[in-house]
Parts: sequence; structure tokens; C-alpha cells
Amino acid sequence: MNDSTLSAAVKDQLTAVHDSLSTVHLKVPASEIIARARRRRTRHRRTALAGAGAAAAGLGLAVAALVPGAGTHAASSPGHVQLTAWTVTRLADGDLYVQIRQLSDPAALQARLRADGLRASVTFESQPNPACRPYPADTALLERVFPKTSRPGPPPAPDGVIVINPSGLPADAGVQLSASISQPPADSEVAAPVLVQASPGCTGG
Amino acid sequence: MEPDQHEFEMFYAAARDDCLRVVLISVGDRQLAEDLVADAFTRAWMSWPKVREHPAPRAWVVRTALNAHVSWWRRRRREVALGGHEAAAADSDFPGLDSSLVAALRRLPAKQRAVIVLRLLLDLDTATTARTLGMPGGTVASHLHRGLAALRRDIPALDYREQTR
Repeated sequence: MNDSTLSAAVKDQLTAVHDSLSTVHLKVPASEIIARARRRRTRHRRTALAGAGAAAAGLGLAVAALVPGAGTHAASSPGHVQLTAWTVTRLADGDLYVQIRQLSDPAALQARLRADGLRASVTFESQPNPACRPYPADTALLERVFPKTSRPGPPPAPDGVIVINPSGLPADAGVQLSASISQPPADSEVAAPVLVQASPGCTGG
Repeated sequence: MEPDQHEFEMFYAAARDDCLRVVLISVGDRQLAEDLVADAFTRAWMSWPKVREHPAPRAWVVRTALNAHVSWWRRRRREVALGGHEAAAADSDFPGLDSSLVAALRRLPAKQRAVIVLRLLLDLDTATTARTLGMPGGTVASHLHRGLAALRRDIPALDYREQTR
């Protein structure tokens, strides 16, 4: 069987399943959807203001988030999906902690990282930036730029956080973050960051 | 009411059930599917100027819901000791959700599953699927080919059904 006929067979069966769900309706009214969006926007603004306030206070902490729940742990029950898309935290020693929970708005994450002094390229759900070229790196360099998460002194990096030491980067190198999703039982987290050659088209400079 | 809001509400009324059914097939749990789709529509309204220009706004919603599902699953996997694969049980009210094909579909890698859902359930062409998923057309074709091959391996009856059509 070729792809075309197999595809037709699969399509027929999936369509039959879809048709069997004709009594399934989404009962949430449009007004509730719009109200949720309004509440979410309000929380956005509060989060942005809180982040700006923290920076102004010299706390050395920058938190950026795109969806509600910044700085909180989102519910993990099936009943609610409210995920902070990503969080960037700069520690006093200059290290960046990047936690990505949702593959959302890579351009904003890229801008956030660059604003924090990291030459960075970020792409989600697409091919990595074709302008990026691999940077030849040995283990020592990789360990310097991406220090282990178990490190002396607080705070330890929580699970799922990428730790980046911008000052460990050679002047002609940057960091590329890309993401992929694979089968859940063996799914990959956000792909490990890699070193790339710094260039205006790739890392912004 | 603003014209944009009216337009969104028209879109929501026309698309919400279809999107829910497609996502339900993909995740198997009705409550979860409803939450994912409602959340995706919320995002659609928040990005309405962009979504309204999308060649397939329904696909945008479905893609957003499926992406959120992957994120949800990852968090759940970290926090709950799960045995085996995805634990969502099919809704017993809908026997079709228990079919071997739907089960096999859910076992596919997320991108292959998304391509099959968009291409075969939402009937998108390759170019629109590529734009929706943010991947080149060749990658869409590759994911479709691999996904179909995996389904065929999982369900030999697909060959039989085709031969007896």
C-alpha cells in the first residue's frame, strides 16, 4: 500500500471516529473565553511591572513571563492548564537560569536573553536559525558556559532549568536554544543548548 | 461590541466543537480536551489580529491545544509516577476513542501526530500544515510518511482494509 492509499484509509477511519463524536460540544461560552483573556492580560501587566520593580530595586533578578502564573507553580491536574511559558532569572554571580515550560514566543525569550547580555538564538517548533553555525567547543568550555546544576551555594537549579554562564562565552560565540517534541514516553525536554558562532544573523551580534 | 470581538465570537461558535473533537481524538480525555481547547481559544482571542490572518485558524487552535498538552504531560510526568505511556483513558461514552487506530495515533511522536491530525482530520494541504506547525513542507511530508508507516506497523488491519475497499 502506498502513502496515498494508506493515508485515505487512515483518513476514513479517523473521520468516522470524528463523526461519532457529534454529541461532543464545548460548553464554555464565548464571553468566558474573552473574560479569561482579559484576566490574563491583567496578570501580564502586573507581572511586567513586578519584574521592572525588582530590577529597579537592584535585586539582580529579572523575571519575564508570557502567560499568567509567572513565578508560581502552575496546576498540573488535568483540569487546568495554566503554564508559565518560560522564566529567565539572573543571579548575582551573572549566571542565567532559563526555565522553559511551554514552547511559546521564542522571539521574546531571545530578546530577554539578549537584554541580559547573552548572545542568543532561540527557535521553537521550527528549524533552528539557518544563519547559525556550530562553534567548536571542548568539554571544558561547555562546562564553563553551561555549569552543572549541582553547584555550591544557594539556590540550586531546579529540575528542567538550563544554567548559562554568559561570562564563560568566548567573544566570538553565542548560545542557541531550540526545542523539539517527541513521543511522550521518551520525550525530550527543550533541547540542550549548543554553542554557535556569534553573528548578527544568528545571535544578534 | 467591537467588530473584532464579534468576528472572534462567530469564529468560536463555528469552530469550537470541531476543534474539541479533533483534540479529544488526540488526547482521549474529554475534560482535558475541553480545558486545552478553551485555553487555546483564549490564546486565539489574545492574538486575534494574528490568528484571523492565519490561513487555517482552526488549525492554529488545534496546534496550540496540542502543544499545551505536551507541556502539561511533561509536567505531570515529572510530578506523578506514571507507569507506561500516556495515562489518559478514553471516554467510555465514545467507543470510537478506543479504536486501535486512535490508540496508535496517540502513541506517535507529537509532531507526527500533529501532522496527521492537521493533514487528515482538518484536511489541510501541505503548505498550510507547514505554516501552522512552523516547519518546512518537506518536513511535513516526512512526518506524514513516518507517521503513516508507524500506524501501518501498529495496525496491520489497515492493509487488509485497504485491500478490501
